[in-house]
Amino acid sequence: MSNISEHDENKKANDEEGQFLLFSFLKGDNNAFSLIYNKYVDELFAYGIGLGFERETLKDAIQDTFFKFYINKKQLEGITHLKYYLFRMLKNRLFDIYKSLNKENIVEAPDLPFLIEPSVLDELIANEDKLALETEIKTLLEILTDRQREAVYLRFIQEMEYEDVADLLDMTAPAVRKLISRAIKRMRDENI
Amino acid sequence: MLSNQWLQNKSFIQWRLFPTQEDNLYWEQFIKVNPHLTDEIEEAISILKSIKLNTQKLSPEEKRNLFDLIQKDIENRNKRRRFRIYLTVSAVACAALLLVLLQPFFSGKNEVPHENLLVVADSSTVNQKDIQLVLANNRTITFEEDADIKYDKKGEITANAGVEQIKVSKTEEEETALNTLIVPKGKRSSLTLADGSKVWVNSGSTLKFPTTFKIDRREIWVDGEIYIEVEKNKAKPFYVNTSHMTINVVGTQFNVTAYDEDTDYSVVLVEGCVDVSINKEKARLKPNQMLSVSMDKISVQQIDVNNYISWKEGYLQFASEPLSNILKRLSRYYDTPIDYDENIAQLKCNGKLVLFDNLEDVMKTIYNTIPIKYSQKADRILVQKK
Repeated sequence: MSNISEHDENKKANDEEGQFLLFSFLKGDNNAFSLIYNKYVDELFAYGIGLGFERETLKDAIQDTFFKFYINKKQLEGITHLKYYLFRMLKNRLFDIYKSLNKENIVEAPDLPFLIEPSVLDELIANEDKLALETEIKTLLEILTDRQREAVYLRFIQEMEYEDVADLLDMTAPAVRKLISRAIKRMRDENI
Repeated sequence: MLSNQWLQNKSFIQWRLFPTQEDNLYWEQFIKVNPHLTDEIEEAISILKSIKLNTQKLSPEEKRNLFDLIQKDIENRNKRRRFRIYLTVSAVACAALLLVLLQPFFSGKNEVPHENLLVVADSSTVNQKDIQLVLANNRTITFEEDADIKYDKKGEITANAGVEQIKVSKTEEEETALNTLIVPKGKRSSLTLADGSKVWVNSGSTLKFPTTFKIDRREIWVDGEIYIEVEKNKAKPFYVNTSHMTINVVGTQFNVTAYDEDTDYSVVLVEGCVDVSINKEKARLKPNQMLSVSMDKISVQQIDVNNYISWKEGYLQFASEPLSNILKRLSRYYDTPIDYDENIAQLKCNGKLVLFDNLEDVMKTIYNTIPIKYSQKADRILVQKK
């Protein structure tokens, strides 16, 4: 299928756009900041929902994330994956919130659940078929662990590099490769 | 809808959602072997493309509001920040220091003490009223209007003067070879050095500097008046040399007035700490001090820095400044000779003087506030008691 390389092209263009926006932002272009916000806010929100956070909590965390992003300009030099960096910032913030909500003494990063809620947006397909398909995908994903779900979500849906996924999960890149291939195998085995 | 059967095929769905190399190969092969299924598979693929995982979104309104909140956070912080800067400035206002050096050894105004370092432009082809930038390779760039020049780390030069913009890429010469910026009377320029330090160069000044600095030290040479904000870098001390003193700094802001033609020298420290070496004597200048040297005698006093550095913002500020000094500065700034009667030379002036585009407007401000009159004769201005 030729749409595989086309897909890679899209991802590349997307990454390049991110880098260009970051570059403009660092040069002092304030418009770039609002473009960065609008480009990534949906994905960040969706990621936070996946991690099981409430809408309002999430909004606060996103607010803090972008504020911090803006004022710590100096730390942004040399960043190659803007999207990953924002995800990391949001996740750190969410960890802090999680810790303060669960007053236990959590030293290590907590294991957060990871939920994936599929929805079919195609208008041409009948409602019952839509529901059937959504259930199908849900059961497919249910057999995965939270960590596996988060990993495949970041890798396939958010299209991140293995290195970035590894960082977000506090794992090494080879370990993430293994984790994902196990997840795929698990789904495949279940289907037979 | 034949594609339905594909939408119930878990392996197929899994491939579309999480395409691995292995699955790609498998399905490409499958389609090749079953060309009659191509259409329905394409249809199923297009439906599956519309599947979004975790689609919960913020409404456009929520998004806007959230962004407003972020901007408010940033504004509040900037307010705090401005306040901080203001405090710094007011703390700095008392933290200034002036070093006046008597310079009895030198006469002749166009000679430069470091002849070996100065690149002399071919004066026959250059309009002496233009700003000149003499590059390390002896090429001369001239600007008719006040210029803002920037050297970057790679040695590339960008210069803006009026509407003009000039770019020069790195020259072949040795990188640490010296460039010379000559700012004639009546002109001003600003210059960003390769390390990011920013220099404002006042009228009638010559500045020499390398395209990129040496590994272990940063050094520039000045004849005239500059205000400089030095980028902090402890590993590479910064030296400002004038004909009779060397100022050693590690990240600071200060003003140097050291016209070879003048008998007075001064260093005004705005921030930080500098060591000044004059011949064999060394003095460390600290906040809240002004150091002046007269007839080899060094004295210390406090001053308001704004009185000395305001020229870079386009105005002059004075506190009990003799009129003669002000007229001397104006004469240099506007490149117009000013004569005055001895009986008004010591009139003390206070306040701010905006440096308008033409000298006449400035003179008007002066004679409106102090009892003088002035007349103009053939490009010379004469100031007398009213």
